[in-house]
Amino acid sequence: MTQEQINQLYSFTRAHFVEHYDVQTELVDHLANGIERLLKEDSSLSFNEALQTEFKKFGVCGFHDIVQEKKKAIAKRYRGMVWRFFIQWFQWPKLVLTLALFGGIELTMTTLNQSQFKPMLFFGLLLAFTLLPLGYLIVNRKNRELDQVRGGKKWMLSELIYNLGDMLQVPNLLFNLGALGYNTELFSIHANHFNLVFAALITLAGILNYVLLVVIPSKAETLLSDTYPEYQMQ
Amino acid sequence: MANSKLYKGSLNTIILKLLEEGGKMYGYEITQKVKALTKGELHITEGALYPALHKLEAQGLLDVEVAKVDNRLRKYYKLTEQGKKETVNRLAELEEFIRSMEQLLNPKWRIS
Repeated sequence: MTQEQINQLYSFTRAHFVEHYDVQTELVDHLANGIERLLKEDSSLSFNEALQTEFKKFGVCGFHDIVQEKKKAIAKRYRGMVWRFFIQWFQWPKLVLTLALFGGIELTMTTLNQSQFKPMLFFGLLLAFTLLPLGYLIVNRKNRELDQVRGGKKWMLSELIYNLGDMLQVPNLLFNLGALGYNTELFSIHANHFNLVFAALITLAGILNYVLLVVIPSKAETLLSDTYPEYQMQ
Repeated sequence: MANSKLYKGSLNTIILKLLEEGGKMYGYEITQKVKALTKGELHITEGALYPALHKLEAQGLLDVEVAKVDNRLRKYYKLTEQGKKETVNRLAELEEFIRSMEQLLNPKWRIS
């Protein structure tokens, strides 16, 4: 098969809504194998006829299901990466920083126990941890779009990395829980366990934000190389 | 063509078994191998094969290698250490299932 025909197959997958190079590459090889076989069996077939015959084998949904399932599989890998970096903060030596952050917030809240600033600090921190990732996504939109494309190609994992793995719902959930639960019987700002629970939740959210916003994007190159052997071959 | 629903639940095990025997294989090769082994009786659809491969890869059971073949890139799948262990387990499960089905379908009646 000529290079031109291979390029034509890449265009074909793009035209059929496969936008990521990692998925396109696998489909191109599959189509190329099928087409070569068909042309060998019946030399009167044209390249395009053979391509259409091979494409039909993917069923009425075409490449849709494959792309969707691949997204799920890559999202699972991404969550694995997030978890790997997240738990490092509960192991020596980073554990010291985690405990310091937790202790600092707890101590500040306890010091402010009778103060009118306590609710302000509570909502301020909640809001900050919710708006931080949102702000990053909005302010960085142009850069993120450029970062997702590596070597002129778009990779499914890099899209997840620069969109924070669509995990914005985690800080959002925290904010909603905090706002809804605020001053209820269970989560009264004056309850004894309030400072501890709040400090723990904010510490966890802070670490998660840091991993999503800083750690993983800074290691994008390595993570992409580890995930895709073809990334090195560009 | 055989009733594909009967095979559906065993697709992952079939893939693992083929990779255990074949070392490393690429997607198209797997579809052709299954077709040849079952004399055309079982046809793994492309729409089912790749999602299964990607899922097994995400579970850490498969590893990938990419090689340039002719003028295109080819993605090969092979079992990881975890995948090799899992293959043994899943094959044992499948064999147990087949034995149970045999007993259900061909019970050996005995008059005691």
